[in-house]
Amino acid sequence: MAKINIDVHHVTRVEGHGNIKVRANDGTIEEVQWQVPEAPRFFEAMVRGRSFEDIQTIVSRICGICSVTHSLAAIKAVEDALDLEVSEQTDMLRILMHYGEQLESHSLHVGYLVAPDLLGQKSVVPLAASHPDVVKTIIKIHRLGNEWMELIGGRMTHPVTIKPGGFSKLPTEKELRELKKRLENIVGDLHTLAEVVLSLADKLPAFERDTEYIALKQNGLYTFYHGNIASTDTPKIVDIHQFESVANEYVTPHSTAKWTKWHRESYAVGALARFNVNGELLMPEAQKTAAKFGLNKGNCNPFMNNVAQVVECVQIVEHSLVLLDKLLGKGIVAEVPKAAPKAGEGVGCVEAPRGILFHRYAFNNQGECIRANICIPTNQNHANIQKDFEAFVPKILDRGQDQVRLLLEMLVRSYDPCISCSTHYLDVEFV
Amino acid sequence: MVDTVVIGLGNPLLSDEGIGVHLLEQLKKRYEYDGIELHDLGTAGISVLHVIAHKRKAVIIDCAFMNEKPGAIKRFTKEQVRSLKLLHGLSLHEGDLLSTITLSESLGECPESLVLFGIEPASVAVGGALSEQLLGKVDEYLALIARELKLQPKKMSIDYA
Repeated sequence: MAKINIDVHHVTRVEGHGNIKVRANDGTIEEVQWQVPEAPRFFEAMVRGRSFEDIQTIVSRICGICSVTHSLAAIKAVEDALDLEVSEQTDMLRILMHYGEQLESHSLHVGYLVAPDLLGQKSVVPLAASHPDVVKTIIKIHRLGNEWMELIGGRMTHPVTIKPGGFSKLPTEKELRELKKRLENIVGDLHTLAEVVLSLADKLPAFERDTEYIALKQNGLYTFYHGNIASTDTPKIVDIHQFESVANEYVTPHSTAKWTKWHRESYAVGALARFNVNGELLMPEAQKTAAKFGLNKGNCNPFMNNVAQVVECVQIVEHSLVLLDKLLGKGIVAEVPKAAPKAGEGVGCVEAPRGILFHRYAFNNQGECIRANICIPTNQNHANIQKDFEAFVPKILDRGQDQVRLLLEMLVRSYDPCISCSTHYLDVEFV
Repeated sequence: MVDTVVIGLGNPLLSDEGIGVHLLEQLKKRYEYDGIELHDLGTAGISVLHVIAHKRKAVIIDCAFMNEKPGAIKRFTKEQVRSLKLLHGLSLHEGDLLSTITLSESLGECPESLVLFGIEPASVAVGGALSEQLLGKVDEYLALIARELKLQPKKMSIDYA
């Protein structure tokens, strides 16, 4: 068997990324490694000394894709620390806003990163030429997700309306009715997306590795926002305030990001984890979509995370329509959020598109942050990706270097990782 | 209908990385911008696609590695540059503005005039504040961008409070 030497090393000038390393000689694997060498971002230090009123705005800049999720985890932690109760209207609007981000992120991931793999293209740019209808459907869904977040968050990304105790600006009933109409109209596009992915699902590698899946759990609802911590390895539910006893963060020599483990050497979070924990709670259309793919609880093929995201897109829109009916039935009531500083500590936990996210903050009696701890989903998946690599590589080693490399990249992509989130969108030379 | 859009990109928590967002805020404060949409897209660069769709003109401001002196500003169009970004497509969180613009073109929704203002950073360290080199040039940057958009300065009002 030929020599394999894969070193997917992707380091731009300031931000690091994940590296894939495989060395094999004559069928013997010498090294398989998922490395995360990116520089730590120190957000926890940055919020120290800042007012409880500003935390959600600062941490929303952690990520351009999950900025609503970070803001919501932070505001929940701040309100927990201040013993603030929010109204049902605030709660529903926040969940709606969160759904906008899930739709935006999932459609972006499936459409821009996964579809090119399945359709044999290098990226979404050539895909737009080879499969324009597919790309137009994806962009329509993604655009709706973006505009939905803007409607409630006041900005397409990095929301500005979320305040301790409520919102600084509320959407009007007319705007919510328009959103409802657009959501009703997007259902057909979601089915189209599901059909496209279904027609290509046999291109997802049939690789399985039993692991532990962790997600939020709430009575009676496929939750992204409320609840406590559940695992497929135990019937025990852990209160979010004890999240550190679940994540058990540790450091490894080949990664600057922290890794996590609970009952086993690694666990997975994200859409497939949520499905494996809460699948029976999906709403009817989402259930039907899962059934089309033959996706059942207990699935342990990491590539099926992409399919679980498609299923969740349907769930999100279905549940949003219920919430919108409820909100519009009651009418939007003007509310002025009130919050006063006080010493205390709080935890906020929500499901980011890519998995469970924990924020913890402590404040002094002036309301200044004195301590912060943020545990992001991608870090919780790193150990699981490494374990997948170790199990997957021996199975595909005979396929040659290029295929091994592509399959490992596809595996990492299926986790939808948030590896580094600074832009440096432009790195150019003049021609 | 609004036919012009100005976009600030970057992360204001990473010093000069946030210059695009910073300049957008200052434009809002100091200039009249009736009939122009201003968007702080932060690090969600892919959203550029939606914001520029079907507009006549788009101006994008971002920190850029151009091999220039720190603080240098350059106005250019997509045709004048070649991207040096190496993308792996492992994560949604990496991106290249130029390929987003190419995608917009292939969808037939790209503005006929698309201008980029790149500013060479002095520092992209974690922290927040702009470097002194860039801070000292903010007026110069704004004047250049305002000229591109034919913006008039706001009339100064004195606040005696």
